[in-house]
Amino acid sequence: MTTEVHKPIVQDFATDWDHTDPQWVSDPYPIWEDLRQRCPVAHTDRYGGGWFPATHEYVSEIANDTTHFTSRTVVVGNGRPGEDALPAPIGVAPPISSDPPFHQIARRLILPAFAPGPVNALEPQIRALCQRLLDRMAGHDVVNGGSEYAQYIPPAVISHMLGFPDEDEELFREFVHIVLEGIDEPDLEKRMEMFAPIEVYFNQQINDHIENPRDDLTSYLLNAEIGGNKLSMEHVRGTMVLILVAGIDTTWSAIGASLWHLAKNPSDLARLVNEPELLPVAIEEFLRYYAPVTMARLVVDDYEFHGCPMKKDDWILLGFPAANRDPEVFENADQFIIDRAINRHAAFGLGIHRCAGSNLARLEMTIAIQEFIKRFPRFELADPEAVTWAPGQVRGPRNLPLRILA
Amino acid sequence: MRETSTVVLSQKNDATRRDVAVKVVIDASLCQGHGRCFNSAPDLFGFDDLGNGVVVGDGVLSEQTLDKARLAVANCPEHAISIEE
Repeated sequence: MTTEVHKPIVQDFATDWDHTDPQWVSDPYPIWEDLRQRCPVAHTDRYGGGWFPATHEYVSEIANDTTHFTSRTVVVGNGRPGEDALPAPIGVAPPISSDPPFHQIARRLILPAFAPGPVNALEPQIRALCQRLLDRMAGHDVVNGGSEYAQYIPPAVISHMLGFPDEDEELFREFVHIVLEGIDEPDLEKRMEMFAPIEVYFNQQINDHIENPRDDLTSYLLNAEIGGNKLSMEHVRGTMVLILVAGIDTTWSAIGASLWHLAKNPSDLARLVNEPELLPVAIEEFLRYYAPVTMARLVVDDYEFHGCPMKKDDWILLGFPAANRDPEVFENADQFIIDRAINRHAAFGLGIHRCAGSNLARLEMTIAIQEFIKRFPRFELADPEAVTWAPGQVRGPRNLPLRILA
Repeated sequence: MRETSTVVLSQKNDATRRDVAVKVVIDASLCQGHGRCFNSAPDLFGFDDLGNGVVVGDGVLSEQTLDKARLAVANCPEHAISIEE
């Protein structure tokens, strides 16, 4: 929980943006379009000061500028990383929180595990998982695409990759929740208290893997070396936390948003059911249109960016989802076009921090949607008002009641 | 507009008029491994052990593969793919 519960409602997002404001959470797209026309870099004094570039061009420029913008922390909060954080360039969760040159070293360590070869090998297991979840829904008139389906898929896959016991899936979802909520906790002691169960659990798992090495990502990280030296325990644990957090609510949001769209657009659903070969192109449009992930940077030193007087340690909220709606880059950017052939979206980020798990995310989305529409070729929103969207930097439907149609 | 389908189509018309060998190349310094190329055109693109895109073979394009290559160019988020003579 955040301690700041009574934030004033935003009146003007150009001068006072807040990505947790109810209006932004429920429908940010008109806000971003307005900012693109008026600013296009919005400012806020909230969170100790920050900027939000709304165009693809500026998002891309900042994502590619690791000199003026650091990834030391990538989640906007009330505090800045303090004494508890490892200093840049390593950061708390390498490589996402690392800057060059260490970033590349940390990234190269994990990329092979997320390359298409090993990821595609997970396909049968992911498919069986989706089918098991769908079996559980058999005979129900209303199913929950979020809490009964999308939410279960990524944690099972990630925990399998890390080599954690299957029965701990429920625990992972709780951890993700803690991290995403706790990052906003300005009181360091409270934050550490919240994170304690995660640290305990990860240490248990690490110790168990030291005693009983096996063929999984945790043992891989424990055995990995940089310049002939094993990784520090902080690095191993930080990367495990990253894989846990980055791999879970992101992909479940993408799966959920795709199902939400299909529930609302029967013609798109019918096309996917009748033309399954369209799915790869449709997945890219789901990713563009409903890109769930927004990342952050910190300004390294006072810097003038296209007329904006940025101050050291100002936040940059790097809106890849906003970039994906920029009409300068996408024709009919505000329209979902299921067979959009040219689609240079930035859902997985741009530059050196491209989502390391993008191949896995795409595979999970593909199988989850494939299996869902195979089982339920017709469905609609059971209660549109009941759909809730997660606030913050990962956007997706959490409660998604779907009525299954004959 | 930065690069639209119109631009791509006109490039296509120019290229098919010429009767010279064209090949597709990936600038490894720009590729970040988004995977768009090898997902959409696995006959033209593969990947290395880090998951970065690589051109299959010499990258020389035929009339049949030119369109796929152009699509890959237009879809690369990092502008890492180009078609050269």
